[in-house]
Amino acid sequence: MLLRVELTEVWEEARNIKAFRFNRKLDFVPGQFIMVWLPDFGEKPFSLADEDLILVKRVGAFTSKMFELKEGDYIWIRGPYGKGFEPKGKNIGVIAGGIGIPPLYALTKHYGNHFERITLIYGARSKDEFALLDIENYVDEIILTTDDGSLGVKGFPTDVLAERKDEFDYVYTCGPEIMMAKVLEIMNFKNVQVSAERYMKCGIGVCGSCALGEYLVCRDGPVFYGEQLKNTELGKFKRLPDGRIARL
Amino acid sequence: MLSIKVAKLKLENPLILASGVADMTPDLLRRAYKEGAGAVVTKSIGIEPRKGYDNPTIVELPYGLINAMGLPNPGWEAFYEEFKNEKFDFPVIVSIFGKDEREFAFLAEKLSEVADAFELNLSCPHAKGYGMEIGQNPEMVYKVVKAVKDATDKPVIAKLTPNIDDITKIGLAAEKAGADAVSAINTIKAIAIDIYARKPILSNKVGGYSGPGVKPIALRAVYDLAKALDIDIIGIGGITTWQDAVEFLMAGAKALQIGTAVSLRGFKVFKEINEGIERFLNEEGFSSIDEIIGIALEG
Repeated sequence: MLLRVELTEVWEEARNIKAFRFNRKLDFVPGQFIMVWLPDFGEKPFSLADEDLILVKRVGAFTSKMFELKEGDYIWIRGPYGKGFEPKGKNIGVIAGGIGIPPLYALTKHYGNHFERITLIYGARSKDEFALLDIENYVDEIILTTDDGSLGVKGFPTDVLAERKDEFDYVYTCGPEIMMAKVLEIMNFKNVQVSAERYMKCGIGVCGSCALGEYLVCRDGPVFYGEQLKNTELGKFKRLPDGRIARL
Repeated sequence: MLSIKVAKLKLENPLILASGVADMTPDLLRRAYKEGAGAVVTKSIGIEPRKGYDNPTIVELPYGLINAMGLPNPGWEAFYEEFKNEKFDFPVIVSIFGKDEREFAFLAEKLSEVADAFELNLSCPHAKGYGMEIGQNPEMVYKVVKAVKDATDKPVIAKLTPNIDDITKIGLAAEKAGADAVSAINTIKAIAIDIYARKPILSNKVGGYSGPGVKPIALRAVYDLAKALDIDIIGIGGITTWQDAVEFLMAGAKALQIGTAVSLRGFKVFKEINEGIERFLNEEGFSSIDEIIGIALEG
């Protein structure tokens, strides 16, 4: 059911990324998402960064409209939906890429006490694109990587993971699909949970738009165990809104 | 005990995944079968790729859903390319939609190789110029069914709209044109308004209502059709529990399609319903499902 909520805080987190806090605390599992409706402008899925917080990257018409909203404005939400993370492992690696940070922020903030040591490896294209860096309060070590070398290690988070994977007994990841496919390859699909993304319409397991292998990202995911994704198209192709196969 | 023959197809059990529900890809169709469906219907396929309507495309209500997806589909060519190399261990019924009998016949001819049967979408309530706008007219239903029968040797199922004064009129038109079966009902035209936004929620404004709330209406449609028609009837509309399924079988449906319940309960709903039907048959002393089909029509 749709719920109208008021925005209580809106701020810029990074270049082209804004955070929106609303006046309702949702009972959620880290990794779950909500659908956000702006009347006349559409409805899109967003991962919850916290019980009352989403992060939005400006990529198109809908998110540009979101960027015009201010404190006191309303958005309409439904959810939380989907299967979230299940806390497993003691010494974990958290591999984030770009706007993939929100569900991992929720994981470290809300499930932190399940783990003994959390290492975050977080990559972005450039130094001004990192969001939610107060995640440092919830993790034991942070390694930042940038594609252009403007901050931290020059390279990709997966380069760091490949070197340090033996330190971790479990890995969690969210980010660009190519990066997540690489994480799965490095981990040999074992001891890893992946928050996947596909074009999504209904969000509740009806329309099938978000098909990924034999799964629906909205119902069976968005968080999957590595083993589930072994023989799927993850990292290979996606589908257009009309269902045709398209390159990533 | 549960195996059934419907529209010349042999099914391991009477449950069929309904069109437009988690049926975008070959892998999802296999998943439905693996989890207990006896057959599947694909998303409705048309001439050209269609991305469908913008979101919101769904409204969740206490007793069901209103959807207006807008017939998203890859178009017949991309569908054919993807399905021609796939092998399935179960009947795959291809749903098709067109704006007139020529388009329907064209699609049936082009897709015969990848279809075990066709279901004609004469009933989508929210796509201008398609579906229900054709399916409310008995003459058009006759023309479309006839043209498709002439274009393919595969069984043809006409999916009927409940948005009409008397559903048996269009059922009889389909039967007269040679349909092997009718399926009923498609969704009921409906709307939802958000009182704070002060406007309809769906981007298309109107959509089709499905789920437990429509079950008694669907059951009545099946009951009326079973009394009026000689061809097979496939019951659709809010079937969520095994008791619902038994009701539809007793009203004269030979097979049943499950749609909204897959969203409400997950793919496991197929297994739950099949187990429930089988248990009921055993407990009530029936030896096969055929014995209860239409049993409530007597007297």
